Amino acid sequence: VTQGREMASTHHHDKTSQQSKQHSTFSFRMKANILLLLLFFASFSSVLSKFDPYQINGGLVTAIAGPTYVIFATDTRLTDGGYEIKSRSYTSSRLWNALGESTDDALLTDVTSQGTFVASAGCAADCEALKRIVQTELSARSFLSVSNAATLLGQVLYSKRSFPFYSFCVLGGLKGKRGAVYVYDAIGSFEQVAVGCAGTGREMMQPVLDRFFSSSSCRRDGTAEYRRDGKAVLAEHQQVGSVTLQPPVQTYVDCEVEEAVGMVVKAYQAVCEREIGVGDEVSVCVVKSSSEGRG
Amino acid sequence: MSFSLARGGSTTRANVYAGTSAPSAPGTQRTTRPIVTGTSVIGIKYAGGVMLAADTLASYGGMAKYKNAQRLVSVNPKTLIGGGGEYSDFQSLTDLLRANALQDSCTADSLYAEEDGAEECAREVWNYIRAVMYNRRNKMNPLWNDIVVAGFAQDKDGSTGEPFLGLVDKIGTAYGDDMIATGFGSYLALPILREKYRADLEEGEARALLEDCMRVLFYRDCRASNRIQIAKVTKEDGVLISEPYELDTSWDSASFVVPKGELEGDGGW
Repeated sequence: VTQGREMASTHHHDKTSQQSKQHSTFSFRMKANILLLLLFFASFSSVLSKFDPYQINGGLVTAIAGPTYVIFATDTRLTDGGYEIKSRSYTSSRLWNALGESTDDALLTDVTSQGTFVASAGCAADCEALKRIVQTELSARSFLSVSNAATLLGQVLYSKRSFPFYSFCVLGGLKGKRGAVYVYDAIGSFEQVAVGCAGTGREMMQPVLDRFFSSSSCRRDGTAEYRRDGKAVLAEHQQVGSVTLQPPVQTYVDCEVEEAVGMVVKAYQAVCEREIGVGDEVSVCVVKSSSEGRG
Repeated sequence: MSFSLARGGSTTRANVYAGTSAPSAPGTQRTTRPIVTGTSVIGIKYAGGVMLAADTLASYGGMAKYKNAQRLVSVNPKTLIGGGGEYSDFQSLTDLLRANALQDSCTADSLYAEEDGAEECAREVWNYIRAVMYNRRNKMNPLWNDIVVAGFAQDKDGSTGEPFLGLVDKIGTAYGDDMIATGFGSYLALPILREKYRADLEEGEARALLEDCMRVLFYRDCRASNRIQIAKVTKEDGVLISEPYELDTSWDSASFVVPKGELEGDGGW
């Protein structure tokens, strides 16, 4: 293609020198034709197949922050981005202990009440590499709180801004007694939320979760009261420099654990109906403030 | 791509990989597409261990050029790998793994290979291959392969553990399962393997199942041949790879005699 361009421009130069006495509209048409020819050659570079370093392997991950617990859920389907199902039981980089060793057993054996877990979906190769990097970073330091781990994950993701980890994460753990969940995009933007999901089918899952876990659906009289944390600041009172920035929205849900797990599974069943990248099994992990359990 | 009328219509040189920085030093090259390729590798766990099957064809585009290419290779006495995709990349990876295995055995604590756990188990090899493939992908110069790793995982005390079957693809996606297939096999053979798999498959049953899948692949994959190899890994005997042999095929089934695409019929729909 490069050669074509050079030849074309040389050709053009010869023509203009020969036609220097021609009318200006004629030489303009020559230039336009050369441009079209170059555009034609240039378009080939995107038509020929080239190596794509990314593959969207599917997967949908969810985290719910409760008053005394955090729930993580993931589906276990691994696709090739198209119609092939590579595995129906993939959990390796979908749900992992941020402080654990790099094995699939980390979830079961290294769980403590202080566990910080990450669930990630997107390109499985990138999610696996991200998992190893974050586990190495966190285990090299003494115990970090959930918010520290959350910032670290954001930094790790941004460090590859020019060749991103195609990895959409949710991170969560217990902050004291209460659950805390953060949701990320692929380049490290994150925020704390009460219910967060990421991955293929997020657009279908998030509204369902928002609705299932909103306070109005928990109240019988149908009135909705926006739950706030003690430190939350009303939007109208937020001014630069006046207060520390706390999210003025609900950061934990008002549910019992069993009810919450049931609603999450129901939400997955809804998404699985219509999203081909999500399906097979759902793996649920609950971190409670006094003891752990894995569903 | 910017077109500049002022410069007489010449374009600026556009980098195809706009977002990624992958400068090539003068004289070096990058993989852009596979040239000599192997097709599917299929594998299944059975009661005694793990079994793989692959044909012995390396194609040069549409030409069936190398009819005796070994695509199932033992890395060390405990681990077997199979490779589809670019054959030269597979050979280069095999060389690397064998060099590692040699280094392991030369630097081992014991002179007797059976005594120590210096040999990498299949799970270790699989993890290592994942790291190699991911690294090459990050440099935008991949080893253009799908690698199947078969053998056993190792327990923490060094003893041989559960059978292991895993796959690593060219961008470093790594996963393990009870049945694996690459390439065309993932579309044609994997459904059959998933249907027929049982945890207590006998060796003969597993072999017959793999042969059936290879036969289906020969019927329907243009780049496959009926000259295949079967290999197994067991706890007692380690890696055993068969000599290549030819599958017998039957071409008198109805859809071969009267192809579905015939106009008189319903066209296959």
